[in-house]
Amino acid sequence: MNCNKCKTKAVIGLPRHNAAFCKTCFNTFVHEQVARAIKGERMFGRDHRILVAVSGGKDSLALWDILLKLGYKADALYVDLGIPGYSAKSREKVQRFADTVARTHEATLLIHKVEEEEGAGIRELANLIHRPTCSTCGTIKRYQFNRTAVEQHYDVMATGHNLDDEASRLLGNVLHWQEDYLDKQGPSLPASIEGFAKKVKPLYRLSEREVAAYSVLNRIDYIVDECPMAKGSKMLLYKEVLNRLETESPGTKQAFYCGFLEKQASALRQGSGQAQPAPTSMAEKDRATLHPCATCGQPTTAEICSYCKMMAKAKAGSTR
Amino acid sequence: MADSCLRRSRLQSGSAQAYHRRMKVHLSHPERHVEVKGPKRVKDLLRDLNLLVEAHLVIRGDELVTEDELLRDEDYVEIRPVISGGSADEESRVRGSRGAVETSYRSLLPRTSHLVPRTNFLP
Repeated sequence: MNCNKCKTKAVIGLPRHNAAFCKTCFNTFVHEQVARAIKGERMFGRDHRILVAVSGGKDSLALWDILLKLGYKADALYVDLGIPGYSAKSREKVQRFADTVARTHEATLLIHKVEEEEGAGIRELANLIHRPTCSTCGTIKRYQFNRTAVEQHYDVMATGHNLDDEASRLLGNVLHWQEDYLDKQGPSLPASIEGFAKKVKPLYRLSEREVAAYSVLNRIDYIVDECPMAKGSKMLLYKEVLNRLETESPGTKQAFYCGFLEKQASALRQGSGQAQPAPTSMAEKDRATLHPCATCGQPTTAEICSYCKMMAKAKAGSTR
Repeated sequence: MADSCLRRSRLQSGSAQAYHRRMKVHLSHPERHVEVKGPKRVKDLLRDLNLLVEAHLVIRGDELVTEDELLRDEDYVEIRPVISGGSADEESRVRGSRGAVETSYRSLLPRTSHLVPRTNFLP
């Protein structure tokens, strides 16, 4: 198999694009896809300060690498969840990338330790509040990333969600008709009210396999092990199902997710002259429903945000 | 044909050790090693192990290889899964999802046989 562009030996075939690329042309392809996502979704500009959420996995480290190589000002935040045997390994990968690659671009790595601020590791916290570990982890990470981005005056927060992440999440939400969550499926979520950082997903045009290949080809040392807490999650099952469909019919994931984004955008554009009222934008909804948490001041729909409620419950559980 | 030619050339070289040599394949989730008789194309190796091309990268030595590449007995091959993650967060809560609770989905177990029909992918 030869590269479609330069005709030298290819290192990866991309059936959904009916193409194959050598290392150099594949890197160009990846950079172009990310640049197209940033421009098309108006994610950020050259002068903006970006905070990348890094975990030590292929997606977040590849994202940090790509943004730095494209010339953006990107720092990163790592949240150390205190998972025995896993967090130390993933933190080491992030630190090594920061020391060897990010430092040459004058980028900084910030670290938040859950055990130091929240008083216990993620597994212990989940047990104390009787919630699944993945859901507890999600609440802590979202809270800490948003808080750091706002407090340290970053213009935008970037996560390494790829096409597979977004398509599997969409599948889960559609299968259970979780319509309320569909609004937040876009690759660029605005800073709708004060206290909310803008959130973007610059890798949404790239499949999980393409991001992994980029990491391998560019010698990015990432953690290959799966998070031990994620074993058996429904998202992994949805990804597997979508990959089966993709194998039989290349382009399925892209058609599913990008088709959804197009329909969502056209629904927002139309509507005013229709019999039905125009759908309300997410920013408008946020402004109508969110207000500062009584405890920490971060935006929430309730009086106290889910993070503060969780911490109060954990504190009560630990003193029993 | 190619297989018998390769075998003959090895016998001619007089190396009995080379005759019994098989390519070493490193798999993850869970981590394990298997030995496979070559020569074999990447796509055939993945199919024999019942693994999807879309969910894996094949690395020979330290180089990424395409599905049509021929792997030989002397090769050390890593089949690296690309799927990661699995958090059930607030913005995509799945009814019935239990996060860390281990389930018995066949799709999540290591595949070593061809007995599972490829089209029957639902648990």
